[in-house]
Amino acid sequence: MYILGLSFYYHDGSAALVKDGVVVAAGEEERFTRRKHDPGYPARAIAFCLEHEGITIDDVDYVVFYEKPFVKFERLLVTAFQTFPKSLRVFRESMLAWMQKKLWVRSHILEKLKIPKKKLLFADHHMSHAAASFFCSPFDEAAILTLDGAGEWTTSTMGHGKGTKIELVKEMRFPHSVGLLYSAFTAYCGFEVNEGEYKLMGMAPYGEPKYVDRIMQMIKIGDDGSLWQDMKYFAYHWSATHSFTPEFEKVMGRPARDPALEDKSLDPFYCDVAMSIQKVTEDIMKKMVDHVVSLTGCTNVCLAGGVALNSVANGKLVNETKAEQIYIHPAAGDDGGAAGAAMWACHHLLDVPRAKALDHAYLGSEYSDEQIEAFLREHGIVFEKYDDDAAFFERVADDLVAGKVGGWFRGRFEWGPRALGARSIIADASNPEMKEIVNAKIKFREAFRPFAPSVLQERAREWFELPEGDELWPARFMLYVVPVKDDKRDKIPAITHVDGSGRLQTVYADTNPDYHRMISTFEKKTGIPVVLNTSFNLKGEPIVETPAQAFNTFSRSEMDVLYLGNYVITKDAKKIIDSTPFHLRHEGDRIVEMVS
Amino acid sequence: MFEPVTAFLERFGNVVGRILLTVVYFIAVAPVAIVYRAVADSLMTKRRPSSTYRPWEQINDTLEDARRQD
Ligand SMILES: [Fe+2]
Repeated sequence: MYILGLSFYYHDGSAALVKDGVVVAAGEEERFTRRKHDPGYPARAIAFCLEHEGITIDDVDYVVFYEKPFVKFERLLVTAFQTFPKSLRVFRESMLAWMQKKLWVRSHILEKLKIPKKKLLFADHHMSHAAASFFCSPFDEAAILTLDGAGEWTTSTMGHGKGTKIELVKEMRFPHSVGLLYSAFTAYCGFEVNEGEYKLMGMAPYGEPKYVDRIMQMIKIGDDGSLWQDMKYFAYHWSATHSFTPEFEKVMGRPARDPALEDKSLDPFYCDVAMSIQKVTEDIMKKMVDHVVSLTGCTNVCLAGGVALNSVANGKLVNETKAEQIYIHPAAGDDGGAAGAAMWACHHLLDVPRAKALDHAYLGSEYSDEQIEAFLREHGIVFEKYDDDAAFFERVADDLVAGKVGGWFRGRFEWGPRALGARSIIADASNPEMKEIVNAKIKFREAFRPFAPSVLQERAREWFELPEGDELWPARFMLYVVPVKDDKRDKIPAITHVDGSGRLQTVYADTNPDYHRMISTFEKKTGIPVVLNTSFNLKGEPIVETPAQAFNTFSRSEMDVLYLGNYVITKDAKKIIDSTPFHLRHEGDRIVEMVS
Repeated sequence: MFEPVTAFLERFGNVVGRILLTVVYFIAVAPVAIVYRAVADSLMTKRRPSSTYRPWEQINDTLEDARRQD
């Protein structure tokens, strides 16, 4: 049985194909259209999913959209009523978007896919999140906690999953939202919403949690972690452009940080604010996790929704709550909603038995050696091919030891926001200058943001402080930030953040054997089972999908070497292939787009 | 060749749409909103319950339910 899940017209448009309870293909539309966070109808992602399985849409039993559009529309109307007359602009802008597109999701899908009406289903937004996490998890039974900016009305749920069923027990509703609270502080600290949240998280360790009490003047947190926000401080429910009010700035004691500053000054005040909101978020999440564990009696916890991408908070949950094991879907945000919607229909509605857990994120497209070689030859690009894998991995490891920064393109691309050794830029993590080199020459991004380490799974506990007994599921998807062991910090300075932490990815020989083997080869030469891993893209560009995109991004940056499968391309071969689309998007979302 | 024309129509449509929606907002939304605002607290801005979690009430457990958009 094939089920196609779709999410679009909100954040990243995505498609995911589920076959008999297993996600067999999934991808964000941005990877194909090359428009970062492309929210449009995911025509190309759908085409990829079907092609991958060698099927047509007629072979698909159900198509499932990840939310209930009319419920969200109702929320927008009610919110406009409730905040009249301040809501004029947001009403106008959101209604325009809804009239033009969002209200017609059903007919758009039917028209584009040409499927009978009875095949089209709609899941609840937070059920899609819950299902993405629980049905892909290794747990037969688990507590479920979802947390995001906003779905239709819902901003968080607590529930219980068992076998093929999910029971959502309670929900929190808009405008009270942990995700939107965090975004308000993202904007206050001078970053774009739906884009800059990672920056805020990266900035926090430079500060102290000095302003928790000021934040607490504007919100209340219940014993169950439930959040109530005094909405006189927030504006995202009625403003098209602002997420907080002047009163908010008064309470915080300083005006918002100028977005034009980007990363140019790290004013300690805003670092302290970043750390304070991080602490508040962690406090909320810990209370919620404890509550959902008590509520369900399950210590296995499935987390989902955009807030579950807060890897700093995730890294503390097992040690500091009653949770013993955690699972998070690799695409925890709304992209993952596509997979969740399909999984929900498959198990919860249709009772298809569960299959094995999703233990990797390699669900995207891939390119064969023949395709790579044909591309290189067509464009007259000089390359060196290694027929012997062992010799190839030696070559890569030698390059890294020599201080080179390489583009690593191999196998199926990753589902979710993280590069996990299929479309990665790799470098030697033991080189103290490597962080600056990669930031300044390749990624052109905020100097204060840390890079992540990929570590051999069997060595992870020697290098990182990891909770005892934790099976570390989130670390497979780079969703845990944990301390680097004291005695190892100076050995891998390029990936150790200012507070001594690292956002590790554990690399498993059974899910990414080549990446594992390359790091093992590097370890044999250096004694270090870790490489620096950052996503294969430039700032503002979606992660590369094809060999041509990889080659262009390689050419546009100061990367030293490119590995397309076993084909090695060096600096002197750089040039731009004009026929390959390239577009940078630096701006985040407008507030109206974030909530509607 | 049609692109500039389509772009113009789209922009023109958006401008007209915005004007119409402004009119709708003050003529149609206003009376409902004024009453609604006075009696309802759907956004829980006034009340502050001990917990903002409330029971999940959406029913979406059969294929029939799932075909609905609401
Ligand atoms: Fe969501």
